[in-house]
Amino acid sequence: MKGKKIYTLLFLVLLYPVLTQAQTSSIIGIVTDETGKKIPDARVTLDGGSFSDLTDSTGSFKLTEIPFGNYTLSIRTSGYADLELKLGVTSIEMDLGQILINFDNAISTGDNLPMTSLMDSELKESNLSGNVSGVLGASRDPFISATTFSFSIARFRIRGYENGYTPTLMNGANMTDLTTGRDMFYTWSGLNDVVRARENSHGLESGYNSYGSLAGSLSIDSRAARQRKQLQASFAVSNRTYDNRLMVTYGTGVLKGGWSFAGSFSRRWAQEGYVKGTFYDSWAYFGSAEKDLGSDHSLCLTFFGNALRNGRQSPATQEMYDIAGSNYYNPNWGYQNGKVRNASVGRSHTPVIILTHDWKIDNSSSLETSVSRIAGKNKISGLDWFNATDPRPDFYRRMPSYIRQDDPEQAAIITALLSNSEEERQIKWDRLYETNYHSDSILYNANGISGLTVTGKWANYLVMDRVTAMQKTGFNSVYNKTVSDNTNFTAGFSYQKQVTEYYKEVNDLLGADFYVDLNQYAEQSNIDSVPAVQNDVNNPNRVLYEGDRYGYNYIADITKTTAWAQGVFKYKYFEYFFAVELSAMNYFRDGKYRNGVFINNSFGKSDHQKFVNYSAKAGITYKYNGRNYFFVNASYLNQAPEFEDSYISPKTRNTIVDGITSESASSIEGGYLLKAPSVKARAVFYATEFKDEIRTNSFYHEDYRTFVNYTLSNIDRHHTGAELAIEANLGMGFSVTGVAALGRYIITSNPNATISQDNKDTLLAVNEIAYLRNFHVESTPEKAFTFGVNYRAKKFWFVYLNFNLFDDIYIAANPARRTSGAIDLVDPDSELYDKIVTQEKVDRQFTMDISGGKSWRLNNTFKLLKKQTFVLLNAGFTNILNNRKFINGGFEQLRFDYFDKNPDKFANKYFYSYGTTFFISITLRFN
Amino acid sequence: MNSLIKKLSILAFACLITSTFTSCVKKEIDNPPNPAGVDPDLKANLTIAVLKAMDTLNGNPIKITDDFIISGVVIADDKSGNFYKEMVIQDSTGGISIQLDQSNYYTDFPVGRRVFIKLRGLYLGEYHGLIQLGGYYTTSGTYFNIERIPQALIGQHIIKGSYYHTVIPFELKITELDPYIHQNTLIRLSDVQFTDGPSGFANQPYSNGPNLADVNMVIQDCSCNEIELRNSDFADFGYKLTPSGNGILTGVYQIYDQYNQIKIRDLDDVSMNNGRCGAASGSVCLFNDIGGFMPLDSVRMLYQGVTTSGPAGRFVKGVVISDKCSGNIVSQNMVIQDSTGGITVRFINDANFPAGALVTVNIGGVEISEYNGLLQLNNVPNNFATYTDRCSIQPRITTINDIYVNLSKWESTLVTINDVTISGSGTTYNNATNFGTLTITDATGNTKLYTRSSASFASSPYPTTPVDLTGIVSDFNGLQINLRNTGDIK
Repeated sequence: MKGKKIYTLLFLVLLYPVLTQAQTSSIIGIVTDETGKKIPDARVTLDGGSFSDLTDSTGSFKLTEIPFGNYTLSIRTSGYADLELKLGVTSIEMDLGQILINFDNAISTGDNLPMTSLMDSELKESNLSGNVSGVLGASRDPFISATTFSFSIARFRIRGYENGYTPTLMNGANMTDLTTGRDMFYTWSGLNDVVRARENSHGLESGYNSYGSLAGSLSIDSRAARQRKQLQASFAVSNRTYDNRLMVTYGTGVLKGGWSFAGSFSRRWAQEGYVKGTFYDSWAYFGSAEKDLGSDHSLCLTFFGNALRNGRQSPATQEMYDIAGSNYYNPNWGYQNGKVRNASVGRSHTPVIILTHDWKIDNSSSLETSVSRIAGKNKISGLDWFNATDPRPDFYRRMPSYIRQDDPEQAAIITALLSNSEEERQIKWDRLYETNYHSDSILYNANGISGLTVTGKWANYLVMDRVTAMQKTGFNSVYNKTVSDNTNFTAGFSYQKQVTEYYKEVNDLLGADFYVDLNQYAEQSNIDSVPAVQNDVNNPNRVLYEGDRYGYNYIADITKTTAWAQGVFKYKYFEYFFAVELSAMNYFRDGKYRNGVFINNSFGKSDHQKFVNYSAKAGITYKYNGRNYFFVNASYLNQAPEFEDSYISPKTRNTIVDGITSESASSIEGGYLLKAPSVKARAVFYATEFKDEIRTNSFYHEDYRTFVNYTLSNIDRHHTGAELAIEANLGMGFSVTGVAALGRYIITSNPNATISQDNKDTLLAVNEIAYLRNFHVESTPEKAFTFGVNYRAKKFWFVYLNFNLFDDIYIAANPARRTSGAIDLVDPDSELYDKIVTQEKVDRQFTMDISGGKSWRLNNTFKLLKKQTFVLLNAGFTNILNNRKFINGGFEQLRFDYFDKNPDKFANKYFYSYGTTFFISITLRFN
Repeated sequence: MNSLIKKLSILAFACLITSTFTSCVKKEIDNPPNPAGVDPDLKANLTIAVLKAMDTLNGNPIKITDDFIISGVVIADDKSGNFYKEMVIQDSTGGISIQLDQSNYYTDFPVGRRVFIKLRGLYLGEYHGLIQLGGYYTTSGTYFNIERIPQALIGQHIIKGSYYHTVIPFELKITELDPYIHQNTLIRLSDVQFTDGPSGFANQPYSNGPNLADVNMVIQDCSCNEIELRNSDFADFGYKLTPSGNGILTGVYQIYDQYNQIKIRDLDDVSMNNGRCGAASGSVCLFNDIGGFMPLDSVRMLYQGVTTSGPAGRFVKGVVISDKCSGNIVSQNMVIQDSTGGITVRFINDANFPAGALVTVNIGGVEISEYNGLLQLNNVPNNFATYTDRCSIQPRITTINDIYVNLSKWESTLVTINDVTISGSGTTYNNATNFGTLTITDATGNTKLYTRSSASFASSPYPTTPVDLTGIVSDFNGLQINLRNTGDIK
């Protein structure tokens, strides 16, 4: 009902004759930094893009034909903080003179993002959407700043959305992974220096050069000509995921002949990160060459990548954390030959090449076209085993809680043993090797060849890699036309094709001679069907050595074509926009193995899934005056379900989720912005309704002795809330900020659960109702507050202090616990009943952060330096009260003890925020 | 000055770069050495026999509070799935079962590995007579259940030693198994087979598959002594078929109250490729290869209406054609046949010869008499008969009328009658209305088919359509045919 009113209002506004014949003005100015240096290539825009210019080598810019009125002028360039000025344009020509911009404090804060490394499987299991939302980068908007920096410790997600609602372009190329819908930030991780130039839209605003989504859009411009002419080297120490970082960046600026070159290199490493057993080894590189082909055309080739190897952390139960005496216990590692070895090592390298063509067709129109190629592998290792004991040190049967009820005395002995012996809490690598050394075996009919016998040590345990190998080709073109002083029109077309291979690979046989591609789960349940045991009936009894594929092997083949258009209309008191997007998505699974359990539907191509989707959005802003703005935006989004959610078990078969349908989201936001010289404030209210979502998760179920897949369909969600922020300049260099994010993210339907097994073709449940209505979306605070006190001295130093409060963080609920089967025969008035069905909310948390920095211009001291030379020091300390009890997410294990109905048997697993961490960098810059 | 700064900064930069590229992050770690299975520095201070004696039979489980250590070799692990969370070890004095909460523990404690058990803190008790070690106990009704050693504590109690020890199984007969002494030890039975027939276990799957309950099968020797073979539903060999032949069975002997059980480790423990007891061995029966041999037709002629006795120094030699295991014969009796005829032998004590045995009987002074019309060698001391070999004899294919005609010559021999219809009261071979007597009819006539109530197939239904029937010609105040077992109905 609310939405209808808004549309009516929009309609009325459209008809309202706001067209006035305005006088126009020219605005000129010179952009310099604190040292007096003139800054070239800074982007100067008025009111978010309708009028724009780049500064020349003297730092000068000129904006012409500006209708009289009130505006916000913003200046953005890499290495400096964004600047916004309020302007009342009343004269034919305005000379703003010298405009001073500050070095970018975000250099430090941007690096100060706490990072958590999580296993993908757990992310998937818990429905967490991955890393912190800090990807948006710095902005002067205090709300966005807070969500990016102060709130990241709580894994705050804007409006509670999952990752994937801020589609990202890099030099015009779509950077979304089509299998998951998420953006591939990891490909440019570590290349902070060259990805600073970015255009963001937030929420349901009009997009900059893309349609956007529910949380906005992001466009990064890393082309060589946008990079500053400089040499910069920085070195940093930290105690988070890595200990050291070296970063070197060089930019030529625009050379004679129109060429520009830029390069960047960064190495980040740690023998051991904040969590024991985690190491980090990243090598990131970037190169860009751009040629100005004349006044109308430029062509830029950019390549970059990040070769990363890191030891990973996995969450554990509170029982294990307590026994280990640390909430940073990591079950992934163990001693081998007395040295720490991590079983879960991530190795990824996905290089990106982008060719971008910019064509300034005339003064009022432009066409930017990019062609991109992204191809690489992401491997995550883990232990695998065949007819052997579960080697995980925190396996539930090893825990004291497993037998406490039967025998408290033994439970106490186990507690003491695990508390006192680190070895007992970790993987026993030496034991795994020993069992392999003595596993002399005979394999008959090896490789399916009758009579061929292979003898040797058949691995009981091995290290496998789960490999995702993607290849994506993209084409994207965006046309922009300034139709008149008031009207700007943008349209885009993109075509994306992605082929991703998924398979397991033998990484390390742990001293054994070979392994065989058999399905140990099938062996136990399909005894009279001999092929059932084969992971690939087409290649039975395949003998495996290190580097061989096995287990599962399939391809996701996805094509997406998108067209969109947007019109922005700006008048004296009103601005409004409309945008529509039409997309077609087509995907299928192509199985490379004929699974012995699913002989008829595992090999070859699945049916093509075809979706045609449309989205539309519109918004209106009322400019009461240059300081007070009111706005309302609304959007309807319709999109295909993700590939990985569309199959009940993509690892084993082509079976599509029953009744698969497109997901939709309707969203509306409205609010008030204050942009006064000494006070900025914002109050935004939003409501979003998601409908018909599908999610598929799988986990190993010991009772069934196989992997079990849960598909939840018909998930509806409601996200409502308010975003409040105020920043007040108190003078004398002091300012204060206050930010509050208040949300409520709840499930509004009782989804249907379909449960399948990987070793049988029968379903365990078909469309069983999971009573999840009014459950909360997990692992992000619904309430987050920060209060900051900032001091910025004239002598180029600053210090910020922040107080943060987080509340209403929920743990991901296991749908199985909310089915009639789980609570069967449990007294509805009992404590146990409550315990089974109630969703856990974790404790409210308080943290404090402090950061500061200083810059020096060396030319004053060392007069002989020819180039402008600076030293910048930045330091950030997060969680300075060392709060180590901060659960920022977690999940109920998907396994439930139907027999004893004991929800603690497979207890919740939690993620904890790090205690006090620091990041200190020193940068040397030659301009 | 300028160049100095330049040089310094270049130097500093070079250092940084160097350190960046040389600070390598962890690479591969060497494989640990192969421990080669050396025994730990531990000494057993208790034998398993002494430990077993500490068990207060039928009493409460006892907690071991002393630093006792036993040592033994693993004789059963869970590799095939036939043992589940139970390991059996044996030393020179006996064996014991260990309950441990770890699946697939065979990778740590495979058969043949020596282990040392630190007993302090463990519980000793018994489960239906089987002596076990475990981590704690629970009670269910009047029973105590020894519970598995918790997974985290297994390594604290069971210490791994050297590999590849061989335990030689005890060669025993079913009747020699001692439920206390031999329990939890490796034993070997020779000349045994799975029971056959409709309710037998030959040619059957060892078990039915996961979650379909364990299977108890019956193993017999040729003297009809039986023992259970217990197979887990999770055994990986469960879907394979049991052999129908006779041979060797190796396994761990366990008990459940008064029941004896064998559990095999895997199918290497079963080697039964010989002919079944009483089945054709392929060898031709030789009867007259002994001194003092007397053909059975001559022996039958010694009886002339009055009880007499066999001449001194004379022997008969024949194949046992009766099947004592099926119970369709009095337990002291057996029927033997040679190439000239047959006779029923009644021993003083139970007859012990399996079907198919080639037996020599000293008839010197042995009573030759009739019992309700059936000619017998009566009250034969058991030691007058000796077993020499096995062979088989083919039944004579004939008709009921011919049998009547030749009764005095063919009594106690094997005949096959084709196209026989069985009729009588009730539906089973022996019930309260027919008392074991049915009528068989072929084209030439009819006679009685008699089945003892002790026969294993007494309560099985008899066929109602014509069959080919094999049986022993017998006499109880008139002709009757006795089936040996249900294999005789085709």
